Amino acid sequence: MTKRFWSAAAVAAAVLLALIPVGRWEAHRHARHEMAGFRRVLAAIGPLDQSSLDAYRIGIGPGLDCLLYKRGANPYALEVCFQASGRVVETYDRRGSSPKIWSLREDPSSSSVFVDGRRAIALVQRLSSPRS
Amino acid sequence: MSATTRERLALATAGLLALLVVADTASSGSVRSLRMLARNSRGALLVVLFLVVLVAAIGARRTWRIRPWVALALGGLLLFFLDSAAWSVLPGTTVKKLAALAGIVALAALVAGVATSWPRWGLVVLDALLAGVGVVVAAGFILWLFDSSSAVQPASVQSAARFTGLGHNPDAAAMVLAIGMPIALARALSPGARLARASCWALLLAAAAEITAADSRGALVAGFLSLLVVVWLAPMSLRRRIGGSAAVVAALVVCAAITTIPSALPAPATKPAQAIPKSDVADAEKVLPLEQEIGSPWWTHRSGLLRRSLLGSGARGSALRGAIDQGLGRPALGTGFGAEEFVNRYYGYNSGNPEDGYVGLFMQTGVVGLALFLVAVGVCLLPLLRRRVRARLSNTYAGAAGAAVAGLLLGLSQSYFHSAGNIAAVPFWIVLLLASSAPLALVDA
Repeated sequence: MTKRFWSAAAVAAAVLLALIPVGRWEAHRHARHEMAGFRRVLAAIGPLDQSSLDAYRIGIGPGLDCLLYKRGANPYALEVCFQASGRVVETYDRRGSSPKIWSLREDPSSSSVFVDGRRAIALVQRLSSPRS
Repeated sequence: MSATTRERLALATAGLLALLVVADTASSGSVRSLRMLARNSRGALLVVLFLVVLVAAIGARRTWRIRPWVALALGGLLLFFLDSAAWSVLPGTTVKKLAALAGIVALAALVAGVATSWPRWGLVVLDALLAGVGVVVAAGFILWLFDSSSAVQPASVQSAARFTGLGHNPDAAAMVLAIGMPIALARALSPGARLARASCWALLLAAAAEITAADSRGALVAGFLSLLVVVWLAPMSLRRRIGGSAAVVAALVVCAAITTIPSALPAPATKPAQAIPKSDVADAEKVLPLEQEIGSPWWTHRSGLLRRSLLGSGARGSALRGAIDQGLGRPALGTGFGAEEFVNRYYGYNSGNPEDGYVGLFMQTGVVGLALFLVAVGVCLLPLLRRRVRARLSNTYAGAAGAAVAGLLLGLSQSYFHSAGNIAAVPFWIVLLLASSAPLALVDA
């Protein structure tokens, strides 16, 4: 093996180690961007229990439930999807001509945005019960 | 190692490799008994194959070699994949999937290293892949004869009937056949018994026919364009090369035209729009499922009928764009090898991955990982373009290079080369590493 070969191998090893903090920083940056979107949609929704609460989803993706809010004629204008703990994992804004989606479905534990989980699950159950 | 032992090991490798190709294809097929048998035996076949090849490599240890830059490029790639566990969304999955892929790359490297000093070994390995492809072709045809419902995906409103053969969908077996086509051509062009060459021509035609019947566009393009690689690398006159290239292009056009002949079922008569009951509106999954949102008639206000066409990208194009967008969330280093987490939101798209190996790698390992993979592939194949190498290249290595190119082209329509469990992963890595050893084999020759 030539000297050049071993030098290249040493450089490669150093680069690999240096990439670890870069990869983690990138993951955190992505999570911050998505959570900013979550907060915008939650601010647009306002209180979870309100008259514009129009629809629900149960058991989506990695065990998510969702609440959907009407705006104008659009019954699904705003949506928040969360785990049983209340951790927000996805939000949707459908007030435009195409959906705007913020999601941490690939890594739900990186979301630090929460709603009142018990309240939110109760709302889903109320909407999904046969009488509603 | 004695010549007899070497021959026996070569035959054992050939038998196991051919069986593995068949088992991989059948392991997700529609015939339950075959599927269970294949799934139960695949792991054992791979392990025994690895051990046999390892014994052969140890026996040839004095002359076993791979090119140092290939070792560095592939080693660096695998180490980067391992590194990605540090930022992966699923670190355990990253390590497991990497271990599986590393095993296959190691197997391919062992095979290639033995071939540098014993050219017959490379030929035997390619013949084994070809034999496996031949069994897949024959088995698919026999299945169609006796139980066509298991070998054909019935016509729908979206697409005409498509041949699936031994695979679980029309694209599955077609992947292996596409990799086999350039090997078949290279063997057909090699000096040898007339019967053997005629068999290779027949296999080439049969593989092309089954890919056409499957209407697998990716496999069609990959299979035929890789034949051009064989035509331009195999030893032949310029006149024959030009004639051969024209024949390949013409055959591709004819096969593509044939795929447009069968028709999809007629669209059902549109019913007048009915008001959705309030209870259904409340359950948003009944009206606007998240997995079918983008491109949904809820947004487009169109009929929602999607028809497959020769040049159309349809739902697949939307999914690919969406996958790239998802990857751009972590563009430099991705979510971690093996931890793709593609979220399907695309109307009419029924897959859990982006069906593009390059985009899949980009999502998993970012621009850095994708670039490292392309560098590794370049290190393996670009030396074959050097004049002094091309001038002395045998049909064996031309076939291996063609098959590697077929595999790379297949990556544009299938996510597979980074997935050790995929049907075509083992053949792809073997032909890639075999092709990479051509310059060393020529030096020895």
